Amino acid sequence: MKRNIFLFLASMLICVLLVLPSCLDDIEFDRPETIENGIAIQGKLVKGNPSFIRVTLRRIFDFSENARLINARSVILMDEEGNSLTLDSRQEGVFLEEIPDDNPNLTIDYGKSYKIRVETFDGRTFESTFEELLPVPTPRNLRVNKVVKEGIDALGRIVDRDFISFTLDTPLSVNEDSENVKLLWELEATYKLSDTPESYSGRSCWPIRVNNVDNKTCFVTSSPTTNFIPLDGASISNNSIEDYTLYETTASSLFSEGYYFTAFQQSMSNSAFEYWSQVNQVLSRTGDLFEPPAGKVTSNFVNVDNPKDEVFGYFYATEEKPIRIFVAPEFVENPPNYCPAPLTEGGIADNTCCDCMTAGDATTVRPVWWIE
Amino acid sequence: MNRLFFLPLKSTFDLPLDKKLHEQRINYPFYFTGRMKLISSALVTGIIFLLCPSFLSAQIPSDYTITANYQGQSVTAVLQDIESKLPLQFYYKDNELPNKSITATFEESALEDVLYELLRETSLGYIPYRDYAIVIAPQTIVEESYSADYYQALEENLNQDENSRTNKRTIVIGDFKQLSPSGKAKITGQIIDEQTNEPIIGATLLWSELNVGTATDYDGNFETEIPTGEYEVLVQYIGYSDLLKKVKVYSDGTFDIPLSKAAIDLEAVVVSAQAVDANVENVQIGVERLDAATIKKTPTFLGEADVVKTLLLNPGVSSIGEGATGFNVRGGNVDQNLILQDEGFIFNASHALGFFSTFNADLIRSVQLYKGNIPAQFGGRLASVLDVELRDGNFEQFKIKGGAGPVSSRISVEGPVIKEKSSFLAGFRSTYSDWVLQLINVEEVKRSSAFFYDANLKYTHRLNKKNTLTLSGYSSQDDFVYNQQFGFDYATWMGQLSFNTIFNDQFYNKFSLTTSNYTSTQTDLDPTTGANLTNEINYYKVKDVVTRDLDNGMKLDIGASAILYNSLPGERTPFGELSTVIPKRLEEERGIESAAFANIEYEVGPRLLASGGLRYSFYQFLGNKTIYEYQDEDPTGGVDNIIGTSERSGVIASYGNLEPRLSLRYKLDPAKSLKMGYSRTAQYVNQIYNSDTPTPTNQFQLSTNYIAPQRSHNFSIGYFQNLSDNNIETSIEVFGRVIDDAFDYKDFASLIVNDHLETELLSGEGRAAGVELSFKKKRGTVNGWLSYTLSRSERRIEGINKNDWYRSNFDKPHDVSLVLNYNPNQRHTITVNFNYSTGRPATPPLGNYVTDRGLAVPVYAERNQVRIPDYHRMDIAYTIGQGYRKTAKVKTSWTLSLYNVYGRRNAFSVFYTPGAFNIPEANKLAILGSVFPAITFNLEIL
Repeated sequence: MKRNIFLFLASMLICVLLVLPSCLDDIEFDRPETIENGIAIQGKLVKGNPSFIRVTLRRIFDFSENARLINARSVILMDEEGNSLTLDSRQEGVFLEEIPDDNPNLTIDYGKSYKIRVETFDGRTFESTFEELLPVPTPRNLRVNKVVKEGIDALGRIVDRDFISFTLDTPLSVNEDSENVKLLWELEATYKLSDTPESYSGRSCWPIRVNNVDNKTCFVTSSPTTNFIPLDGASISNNSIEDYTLYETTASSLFSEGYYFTAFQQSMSNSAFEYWSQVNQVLSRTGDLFEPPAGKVTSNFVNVDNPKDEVFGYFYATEEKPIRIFVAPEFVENPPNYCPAPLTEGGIADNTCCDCMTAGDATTVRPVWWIE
Repeated sequence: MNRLFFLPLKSTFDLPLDKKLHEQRINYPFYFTGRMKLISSALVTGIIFLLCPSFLSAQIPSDYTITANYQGQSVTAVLQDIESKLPLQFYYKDNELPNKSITATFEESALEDVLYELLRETSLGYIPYRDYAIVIAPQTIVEESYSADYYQALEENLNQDENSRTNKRTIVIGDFKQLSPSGKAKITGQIIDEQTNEPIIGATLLWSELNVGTATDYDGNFETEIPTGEYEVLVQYIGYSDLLKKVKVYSDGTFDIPLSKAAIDLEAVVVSAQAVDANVENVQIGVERLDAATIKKTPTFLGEADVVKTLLLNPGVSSIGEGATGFNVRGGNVDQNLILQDEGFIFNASHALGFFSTFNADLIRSVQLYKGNIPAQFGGRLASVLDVELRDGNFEQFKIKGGAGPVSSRISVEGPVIKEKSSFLAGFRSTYSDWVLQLINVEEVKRSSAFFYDANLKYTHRLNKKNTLTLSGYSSQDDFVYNQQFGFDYATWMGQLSFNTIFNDQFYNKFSLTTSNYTSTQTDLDPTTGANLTNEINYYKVKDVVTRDLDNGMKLDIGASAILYNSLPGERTPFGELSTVIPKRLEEERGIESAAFANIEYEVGPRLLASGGLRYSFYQFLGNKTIYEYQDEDPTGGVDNIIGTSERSGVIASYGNLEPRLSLRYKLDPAKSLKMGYSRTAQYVNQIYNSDTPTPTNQFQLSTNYIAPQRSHNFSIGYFQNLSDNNIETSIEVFGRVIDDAFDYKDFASLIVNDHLETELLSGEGRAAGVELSFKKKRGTVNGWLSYTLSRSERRIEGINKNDWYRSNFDKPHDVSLVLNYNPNQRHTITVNFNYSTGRPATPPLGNYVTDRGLAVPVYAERNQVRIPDYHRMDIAYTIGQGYRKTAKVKTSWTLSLYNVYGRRNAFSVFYTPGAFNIPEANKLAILGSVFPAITFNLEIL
């Protein structure tokens, strides 16, 4: 009988061993077919004084091809009346043009619709649909608050954590008689960062030598992880929103020398709002039970010669009204400065502290709106 | 308590090797070879040793030895000789003994060895009973799980003389003077319960000498035509003592037979209320049948006996993952299954979203799943019919049953209201499952709560011998809060009345009225976006079916039904004082689905049985209703195509569908048959959802002037073979399905409180095909089944995937299920099941592009191009069943189960997040990523 117990246990063990390795498998997917010559065109016409338009063309990153900027033979802005404006290329793949109110070729006005036409060097012509330029209500107030919220720590436990919360008050309609509009906020953070090259003296701070470099202060602009928020004003019962949360973050060294938070409030046409809502959906997927399947974000560009040729990105026209708020270091209880950052395990210095100009979109010129 | 065992198991280790193999073979009609054999025998013997040592006590006394020299004597003569030498008695049927002569010399040989020699190379086995009786019978009978009861009956019979045991007093049917020239006589009669006089449905009569059998119908009636003469007739029904009568048949006549209950607990032993050869004999193809015992012993999540989860182990039935609502049958959507509880259908049969089903296993009489070839009396769904029938209450005595598991408790009470006249059956089940959610390794689930209950009440009143009235009510509710972000609250109630009339023994009628309501509310708990989203659907159904058994072996069913639907597709109201949500309520919708149907079953010849049916369904979408008007009447262009609205009243749209149903069975021999089936089905109510699994608040949408009913051609053909005296059932079925007017959803479809839902749908076609293999051993110490499905399910929808065919969400080409039960006796069962299936399709990103502000926007591929990782899981359950004593007033049983034994983190879904350098990285979400032990206690009070 003992032998049978052994056999029983052994057979159970074999069963377990046979299946156990499968518990450790990683997710590895077959790579689906790629998009040949996939291109993304992004265009934004902003009404202002002056108005401006920015169009970029990029190759789609598809695991085999880098998402590099690519040039185009021509990029033309057109209105419904047949007026057009050819945009100049400022660098490879970037077309930027200021359009003053008195531009004789094409004027930028509320209620008018615009589209762009792009001709690439491989002979393709892409054209967007017409996008109506709508006015945007002026945001009233941007606030910063400290809030305590539940978060998940490194061990996966739920803990209370302090957050810095930015909230907005704004009307949802341009005037009292009009209907609520569709809005998009693009978010931006700018913080002051003083580098400390002297603290790395004698060390290599690739790619720069830190010896004899002066200290300086930079103004670094970055985008929060979720840097846009669409809101359909038509789904809101009131004609304004109060304390609408735009962004929450934890206090960090980024606040140590001063921090500006900016929200660019933009008006959206129905189709542009649909585009940003779809982008929002695909970026916020968590795989939960009730989530709709992922899909292709709809572009308003089409290859005029071959409608089956897939093109991505979107062109829209908007009015943009920024609103900013400064967060003083005292508000977040004076967190320690980012620099000098400790050396990494390999003894490598932090580039940003060697030279703050290496920190992304940085400048040593104080922005005109920066007031402490 | 009688102690039982199967001798060959016990003696395995005392015999020479060749003998061991033989005896293992007797015990396991699966004749394992090589490693398989080693593992199986080790498993079996190991489990016996560990868990059931008390069963190794009954045996042939070791001092029973034989010294004899047999020279060409018959087996009967040898047995008689042994009887003369030892104080024991053999029980056997002469015609079952091998017709061979025995030439052997035994010198102080153990009786076991002698029996081995006698029965070698036969299909016979033997069962020692106490120390004075040995029963020789076909091995399949020896292995019956209810052999304990067999013993009990045997014990009683041992006290009677042989003549009285077989009741051989000759019965005379007919009159010799009326002897038919044809030499044949038609015998009709009724088999009833000796005590209650209630007809027994499905009892079998076997005229032994003729090898002709028949079974009783709905009213316990039977009819058979046999040559005149003198025969023995064996009458059998599970739970009743076998009755053997000697009958002289002279001419046509009647023969009413009372059967007495065996001293056994029916529920404990019922394997199936169907004929043992139903797999081969029945005309319907693609039918899965479950009984309460199978459901209860199948290991499931947290020990909850579950109809749907048990069905998932059958071929052709699958789901998209743990926690998913409903099930998919042969490439059909979840909402393409008609889920019946008696005559009423249920829109949502899931508790706790999809972890449990709403059926209380204690109340179930039978479960049948028609997977494709649906009888004509059913309709309204494309893919399948799940027909769950509840028991009537006990007409004789009161019974209380209950049970407690980790997540829920249940209780049922039944008994007579007026003894033998009316009875009630009441069941209630409720949960306390919150603590279990804390075990699930998803933080959002841990911050969730769940509550559910279901309740049933059934009253049956026998107005007289011909008429029976049944009233029943059903109610269920779920409250679920997910991650303190949103909640679901959904409830079903249903009331039914049915009136059965028996006009005569060949003609009866069933009339039923049903009304039901399903309401669901989803609550967004966010302070500013807080909202209640409610939808509702109710129906009133009337149905009548007349059944007529015709003289020429035909059976005819004719009936009609009508269902009036009322639905509220959606209503959104603000939740909380700070909510800024705008309230919106869609217009209510109404529709009538009526049908007339007929089905005839006709035995074309001794081999060919045909069942043909025709159903005509007619649906009307009714006003008053605001109807959107579209450019070119094409809503697929979206809201931009809307050109206006109009108010419509009366009948807005009508659809009629002729739905032929055909089944054929051709018997190649008594153990083999070929079957084929075809059915046309139409569906007028669809659940609208574009998530992986439906949520309780996904609305049920009636067909409208823009949303045409889906229709399906369902084909199947199969080969069925039974082995080992019907103990082993094998089958291979090939199926196909073609769906017209299938629809799917646009990317980013907006489905909630949308009064022009048709703009979010795209129309096309669907197809599914596959092969199902099934191997099932019904009885024996080791029994169970192995099933494998190879299938594809695809859609082609205009506007999706460049109008090419693509995989449906639930396309899982390979699906294997293995269920092994080890039950050395009726009390102890160990069940192991294993399931493997191909990962379901998913849509991956092809890459991305980066916006000017550095945002990486993923570019997704065509729909469902890749698959998530494969799914597999093993579960084990050990059931300590009720004791053998029928007279015990309190019976208890336990089930210990391990779900997901090796704790596999099966992916429910896969989603992508930007990784380093914005390269999309795949993440998987596993709902149940660890082993879930459970213990369930069951109690029964008589």
